[in-house]
Amino acid sequence: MPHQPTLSLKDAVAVVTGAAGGIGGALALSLARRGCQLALADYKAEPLAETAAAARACGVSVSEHVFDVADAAAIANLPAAVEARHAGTNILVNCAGVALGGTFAQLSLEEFEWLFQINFWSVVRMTKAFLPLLERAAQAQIVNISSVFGLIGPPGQSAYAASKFAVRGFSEVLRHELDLAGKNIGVTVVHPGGVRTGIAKNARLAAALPKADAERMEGQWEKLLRDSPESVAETIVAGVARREKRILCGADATRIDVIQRLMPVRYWDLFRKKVLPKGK
Amino acid sequence: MAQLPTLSLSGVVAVVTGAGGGLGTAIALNLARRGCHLALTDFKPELLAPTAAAARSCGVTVSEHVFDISDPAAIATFPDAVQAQHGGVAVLVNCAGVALAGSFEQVSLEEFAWLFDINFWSVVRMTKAFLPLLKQASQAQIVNLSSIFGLVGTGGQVAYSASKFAIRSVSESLHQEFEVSCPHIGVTSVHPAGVRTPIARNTRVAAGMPQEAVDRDLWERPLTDPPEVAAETIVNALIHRKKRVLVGKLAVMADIVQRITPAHYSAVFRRAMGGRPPKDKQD
Repeated sequence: MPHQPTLSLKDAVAVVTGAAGGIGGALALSLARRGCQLALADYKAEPLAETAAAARACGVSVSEHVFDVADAAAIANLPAAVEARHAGTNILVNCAGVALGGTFAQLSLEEFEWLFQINFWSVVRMTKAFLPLLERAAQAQIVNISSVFGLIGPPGQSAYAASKFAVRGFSEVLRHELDLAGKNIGVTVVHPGGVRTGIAKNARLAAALPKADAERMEGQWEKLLRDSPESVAETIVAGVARREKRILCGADATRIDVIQRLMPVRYWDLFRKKVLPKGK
Repeated sequence: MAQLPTLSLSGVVAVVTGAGGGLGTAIALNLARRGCHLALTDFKPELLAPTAAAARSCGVTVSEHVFDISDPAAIATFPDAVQAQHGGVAVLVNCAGVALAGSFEQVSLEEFAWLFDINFWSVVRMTKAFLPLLKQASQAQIVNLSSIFGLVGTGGQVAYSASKFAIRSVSESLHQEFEVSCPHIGVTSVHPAGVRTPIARNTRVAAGMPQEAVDRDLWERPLTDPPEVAAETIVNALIHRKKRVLVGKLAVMADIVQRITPAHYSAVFRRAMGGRPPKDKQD
């Protein structure tokens, strides 16, 4: 199938969730440098203002929208606010996400659902809310940030991986539907590997997780977060402009993908030693 | 990793959700024939009773639990009821599931959430609820019904696919966690395709889907394989503590194609089904 036409980022309008920092912040700046107008969303007002100021320095128009992405009503109101400021939307980047430390046995159902509200339902709700605006654009792209844990389900990440698998399944169906309907909207699903963001440091810890385990786990995951958000954002934005369907980026993502495709049942045998403490 | 020992089903207790029809019924009866006691649940008592009666005729103890699987409070009290009647649980089969017809544009957020409560949250809640009992068994296995649509996502299955991808992921994470924390519990991820169950006939139609697009006969046409054959494959996978089982030729094919071309499999399927790509997209 031929690619959809290349997406011109200059003077396009992009909505980015989770834009206060990490990959979301870096994506916003990468888009701004290419002349893309921005509607930035995050629940943290101050760091969002910093991202917005840095983006404005690139000479693009930037609006800030401070709300909790787990709030369904706030999402429903966002398209009107964005349209008032920017007259349309070409790109929707669903980047907001959180992590949750603890095994399935340690996670409470409330903690599991809290993560799903942010990582999964926000993607579904944002997409639903912005589809009408995206359909009106000449060319549009939805960019959903899954994870390498949308490719494999590691221990200690049951809620996070389930949310990222769900984002992937959702994105793959949506892409197929929009394509079948001959729509102007493409869907990119991104599987970043280890990126140096605040996600591990800011992870919520299951109330039942012992402190010592939490510190050990954070240290182990931190070690795997090696690539800079800026370099990953460049890869993602270049891929989005090319309307790529699937982007692997960040440390180990390609390797993880190849291994799970070759060994969908036994992949963890190859990764176990890197993550689990010695002697286990 | 050491392979878990073969599970002996005779005399152990299995909990099966969605046991009132389709694969749930076929799995329940297959387990009963192997001497497995059953705690069966479904939200329709008139469907559950015949399954239970057929299972009892195999000489095993069967309890019936009628509740809506999307009700967290009902799930939370379920283990005590099973414990009281059976004294333990070795096998948990999360089979209850529904389908929802309509494209993402046609499906409302409420309908999407309704499907997730039944298909996904029931698996999380049931697993959470029964983990303490499964930990007490000498050997235990959790069997989660994902789908071919937990491997690939194709048009018209947006909520269903997302829920089945999420179930697959939970099964994988749990299996890897249990290797360390509960080495006697295994998890089997099941991916059936083309099994003759009532799922298409009972599909909820999104309120936003035009009535003329509703064609239950068409939806049912690919569902040709007998549920009894699928159940035999699934129960064998459970006995042998398999991590993953693909049920049906379509599931095997879909798995291969998505592993070869993860970003473009839908175009491959469309050509294989003889469908033509939209006119302006032909290459």
